[in-house]
Amino acid sequence: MDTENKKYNMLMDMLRKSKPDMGDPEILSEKILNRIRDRKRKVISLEIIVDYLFGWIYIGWVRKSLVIASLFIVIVFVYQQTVILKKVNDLSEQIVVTGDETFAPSKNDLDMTLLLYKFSGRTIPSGNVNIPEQQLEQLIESYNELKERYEDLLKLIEDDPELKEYIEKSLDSKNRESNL
Amino acid sequence: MIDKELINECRKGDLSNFKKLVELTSPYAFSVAFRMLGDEEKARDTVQDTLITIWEKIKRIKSAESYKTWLYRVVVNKCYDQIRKGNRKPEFRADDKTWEIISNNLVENPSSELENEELAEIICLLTDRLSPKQKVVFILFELEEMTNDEITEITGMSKTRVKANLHFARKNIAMMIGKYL
Repeated sequence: MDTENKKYNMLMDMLRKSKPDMGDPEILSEKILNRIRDRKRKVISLEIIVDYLFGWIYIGWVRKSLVIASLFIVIVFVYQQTVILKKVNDLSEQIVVTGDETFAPSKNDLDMTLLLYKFSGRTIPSGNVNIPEQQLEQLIESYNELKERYEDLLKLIEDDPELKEYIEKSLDSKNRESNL
Repeated sequence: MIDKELINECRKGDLSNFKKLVELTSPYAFSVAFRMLGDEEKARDTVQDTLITIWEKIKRIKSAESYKTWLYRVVVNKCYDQIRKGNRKPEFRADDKTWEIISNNLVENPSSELENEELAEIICLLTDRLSPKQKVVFILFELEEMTNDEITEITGMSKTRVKANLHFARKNIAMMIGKYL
């Protein structure tokens, strides 16, 4: 144990005495100073550029005017967005019809045509006549009602063969009379 | 170690005085860095980085008296960073040749000074199985001859932890010496 301790202490002494040799400290210090100066130069050039580009914002009246101008732009933007949004909502509820051509719907797609009339706005130009929306709605309602009743009637006739025969005979005789 | 006036001048931003400070203190920083990293080139780079950091933050130190502790703290932390990056020297095997060098120097010429390369080999051999914290405590205490209090301040470890790490390092190295020498 004592021998080991002795060896340990001798080894430590040897290592302590052997200071690592750095070489010339001046060379190292020059390198360090050059790096410090390079960093300073980079920082300074960056500062100069930033000052050149943005230095004017440090002027009092310029800064205040910019703040006011930016507030104004924000307000204008918000107002515009509101107006645009309102117009988009209005447009989405309409079908815009351009031109003044009159519609001549066939019997089969009268429903669709009337629906188009309904959604195409408050007034529909048709030659020299303008039809208000209210009247158009009344027309569509009465048409739908009439159509329903007609279908009911047809169904009744179909269900009763005697009635069907009677009506067919009546219609035939009327047709003959009108031809005469 | 260092003149307080010189440090105060550097705190004012005087680069020429900082050059003097670098020349005075870089050997101390190099000694620790070289013993920690075992590589001359890496030790020099670490010392450069350390002193640049010192320059950038010298205004923050509380007083000139705390400069020495601060210098060592920065260099030790930079060494930890290097070790963590995996930049330490390659894994060292217990080499008969190195034990021979140790033995020859102890027997023939115990007061001789070792070359950098030999010194690096021996320290790496002895500390190969130590953790970075154990290694730094060993180097600061045994080789840089610092006190426990100084090591506590530099490393931030508690006194108990410093003692424990030192004990482990000594035991480990003594075992190796007993086995190979």
